[in-house]
Amino acid sequence: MRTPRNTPASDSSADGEALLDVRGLSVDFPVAGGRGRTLRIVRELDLTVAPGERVALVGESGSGKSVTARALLRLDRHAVIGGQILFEGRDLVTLTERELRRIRGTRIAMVLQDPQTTLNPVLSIGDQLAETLTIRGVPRKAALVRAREALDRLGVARAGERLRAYPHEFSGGMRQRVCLAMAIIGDPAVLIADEPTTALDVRVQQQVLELIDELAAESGMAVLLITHDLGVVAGYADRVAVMYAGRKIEGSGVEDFFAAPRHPYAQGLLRSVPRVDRDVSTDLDLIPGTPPNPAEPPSGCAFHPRCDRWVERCLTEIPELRVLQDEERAVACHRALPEREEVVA
Amino acid sequence: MTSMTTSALLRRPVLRLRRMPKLDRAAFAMVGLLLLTVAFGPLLAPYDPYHVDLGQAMLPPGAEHWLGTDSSGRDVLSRVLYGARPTILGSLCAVGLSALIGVTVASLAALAPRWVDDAIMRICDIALSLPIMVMALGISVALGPSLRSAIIAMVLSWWPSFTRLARAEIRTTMTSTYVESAVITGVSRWRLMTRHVLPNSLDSVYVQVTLEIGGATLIMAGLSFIGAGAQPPSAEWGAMVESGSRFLTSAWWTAVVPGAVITLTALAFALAGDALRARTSGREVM
Amino acid sequence: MDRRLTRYLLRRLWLVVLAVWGLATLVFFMIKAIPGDEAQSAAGITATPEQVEVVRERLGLNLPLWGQYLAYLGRLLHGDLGSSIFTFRPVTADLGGALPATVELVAAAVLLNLLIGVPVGMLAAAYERRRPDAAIRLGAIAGGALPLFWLGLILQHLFGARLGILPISGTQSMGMEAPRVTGMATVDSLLAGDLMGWWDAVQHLVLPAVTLSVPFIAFAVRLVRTSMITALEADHVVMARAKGASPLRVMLQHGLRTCLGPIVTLIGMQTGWMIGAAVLIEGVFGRPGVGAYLTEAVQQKDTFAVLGVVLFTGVTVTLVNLAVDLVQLVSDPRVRAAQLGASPLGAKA
Repeated sequence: MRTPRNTPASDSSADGEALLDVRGLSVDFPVAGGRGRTLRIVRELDLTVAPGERVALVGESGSGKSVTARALLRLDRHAVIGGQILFEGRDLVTLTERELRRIRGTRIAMVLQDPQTTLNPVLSIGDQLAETLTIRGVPRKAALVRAREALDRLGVARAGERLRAYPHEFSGGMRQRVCLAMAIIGDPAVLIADEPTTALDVRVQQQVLELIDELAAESGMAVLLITHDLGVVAGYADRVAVMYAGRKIEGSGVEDFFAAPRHPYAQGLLRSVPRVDRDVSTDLDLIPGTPPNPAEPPSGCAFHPRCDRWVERCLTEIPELRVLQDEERAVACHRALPEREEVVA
Repeated sequence: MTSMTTSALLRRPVLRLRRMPKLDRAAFAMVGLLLLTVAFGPLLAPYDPYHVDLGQAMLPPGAEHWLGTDSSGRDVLSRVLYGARPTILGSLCAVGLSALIGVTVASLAALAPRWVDDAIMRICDIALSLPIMVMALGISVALGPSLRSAIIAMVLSWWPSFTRLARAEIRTTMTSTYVESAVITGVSRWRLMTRHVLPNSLDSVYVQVTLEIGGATLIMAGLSFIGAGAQPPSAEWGAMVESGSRFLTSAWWTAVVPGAVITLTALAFALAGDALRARTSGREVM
Repeated sequence: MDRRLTRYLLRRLWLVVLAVWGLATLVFFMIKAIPGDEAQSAAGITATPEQVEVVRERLGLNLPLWGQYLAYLGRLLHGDLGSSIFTFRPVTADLGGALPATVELVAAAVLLNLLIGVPVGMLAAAYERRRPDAAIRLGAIAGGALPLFWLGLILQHLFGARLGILPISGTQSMGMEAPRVTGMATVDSLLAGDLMGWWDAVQHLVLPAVTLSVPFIAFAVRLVRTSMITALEADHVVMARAKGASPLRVMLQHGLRTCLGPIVTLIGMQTGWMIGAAVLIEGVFGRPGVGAYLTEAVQQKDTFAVLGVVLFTGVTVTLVNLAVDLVQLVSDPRVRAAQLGASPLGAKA
């Protein structure tokens, strides 16, 4: 699709130029009926996105990746957020709601998983597209003109006519185009795309990814792509961060990652991706077991119950994310895989 | 559909009191107390609730008459204890019968051809368009005002809401895989309904019954209050409020006490129903 | 679009006709269930045997049952609900006289419900699982558990008799009555330009309207809260926040707007229930409305009056339901799509 740019691959070397710099992010949710008890869904998460960069945040469902995405703009009403989210020199965690509202939509925009539910069923497409602008005082007429342009850019035919339509009159792929138009209308510096293709059928998935790619290339917008699908990542991202049980367990450049993931979990994920060069029927081995329940996390490394390389230390000590020597990648594992592993059949 | 069958619900310690919020605990305790009063109230009553003694009329609450006496000198506490039967038992009957009819009709509708189902739903619409009070007053002129007429009226206007509820649940259950597989193995329609569908559809009906008993108490008392239910001098709570209402200035307790008891009853059943609903559906309801 | 709309309206009207016919049938059988001679009760206890025979002939009571049924339906079509044995007037005339007081009361209670129930429910949703929410929840459950008639008595005693702030009963003070136009004291005094009279009528309306609205507000609060919470969890609300919309805008435009359907339905249904509940209130507060008329008629064993009111109320509720459906149709594009089929644009999409 496009060649990865020559951006520094590791987190640590992105320092000064990061557009979005997340440090030690934690997200807690109150337990329903738990009288103030909370559950920690995301822990000690570091993540950087440089201007124009495409970063993929990968994990199974329940790994905390979507919670992270929403936490970046503090969108969950009940979430308690800790750590720092530095964006253009300001910490989004400590901003007032009012200051944060100025950033939402125009500096950082979002696309959610299911276009069916992301669109308000009782408002016309035009009003929803224009909303990002009208709430900032742009007159409705002017905003609708911009909305029409946005739809045009996304290749929606008869855009003018479509503005008056309601979401139920669109197909799934069309709705996601509308959602994308809604995201770019404010001309953001970062687009957070939370599983933007999951709810779509395979044929449309590729189109939507290509659209995001084009939009980002045209405007120099950075993209944080949240996904469970490594297949999506391969052709798309510059860097990959893998999450497991609320923690980031590996972060590296996309080529390094696909050449040899260092965390056993990342390796397992990669093996479970169907690939053309392997016989699908025999070699698709999924990681056994299920992700841990956040209410009862395992001791030590959260992945050890599903890991085939564990040693005693894994049961007691939570591995820290450490930068591997001579490499531009970080792994949180006591038993990280060697740099070049013989490919297991 | 709720995820558990009722039998599972009962096996699971739903009423595990220690784990329950204080308020829910209090509600279940209050419901228990009320049911005990229904059973043993007459045994506990210190006086004969119908014994008229004008020399003892309108005594304020005190050592001898804890809740005072009414305008005819009858002991209010005794009357309240006796009154639990017509009011609560009457409401239980009305709601229970409505639920029974509602579920039966819904089951028949599920097995019958489409047009029968449609017709039943239209009848439900019609019955639901009559406010329960109005329906009850109609019945009371037709059959004469009495506790029995009140119960009949409540059942007549209440069954359709249970039919609707049960019908929706049954429809959901009917589409589940285990019902489909039972159909494939060729069980009879009767067995299908009684063994496979109904046991898995009735959770919300049970919860609804609990929730509605509180409301039914209010309506039962209201009917007696306007003279379409239990007739004076019967010790029914609504009728007691009515006869006490004339003496609010001179003997407030004669109207306030039975009204407060009605409120407590409705409150207890509402809270208990809510707690049950939260436990069966697994989601928090207000 | 137009043909589909016409077809929908016709179908809906047909259902209304069906419902009214069902109600009429129900009432007919109620009359038949009454023990004793119907002609005698229609003619009155004092009627001579000859007079009773005349009435029997005119009401068609010597026909077989189905003939009586047809005769009864025929009279209904002419708007004849029979005569009251107590006021000696046609039931329809009595109803016409009683209706304004009830409409005024129910309208005031609905207004209170909209002004209090909806915002408080939204407030609870906004503070979900926090202290204000818990307090509102308890208040709503308690409000729903209050017996209306008892609450009315106590408020009347407190504010009327004890504190003397508000009038105890009636719709207006002696000598304050404006010329009767609509029959609603608040409206008539305004039409007459009599502000003092209007204020007096409003004061008379406060206690009954508050009393009547309490359980309905309690219910509305809970429904609004639940539907708002569901609505606020929806992705499109998250999206609205992600666009930078203010909390108020999120609540109103994206929360309330999408759950308007259930709220409108509820308010419609409650209007029907309020007519029923007015039966309990109007007597207590001495308001000459349909409910008071009905209670009176029950006590006088005034068969035709009671059954006339039963039929009338049922029809009113049916019509209110129709109105609710039409409001939904206009306000919600989803309902429009479901009832009228996909729009032309969607067909091509």
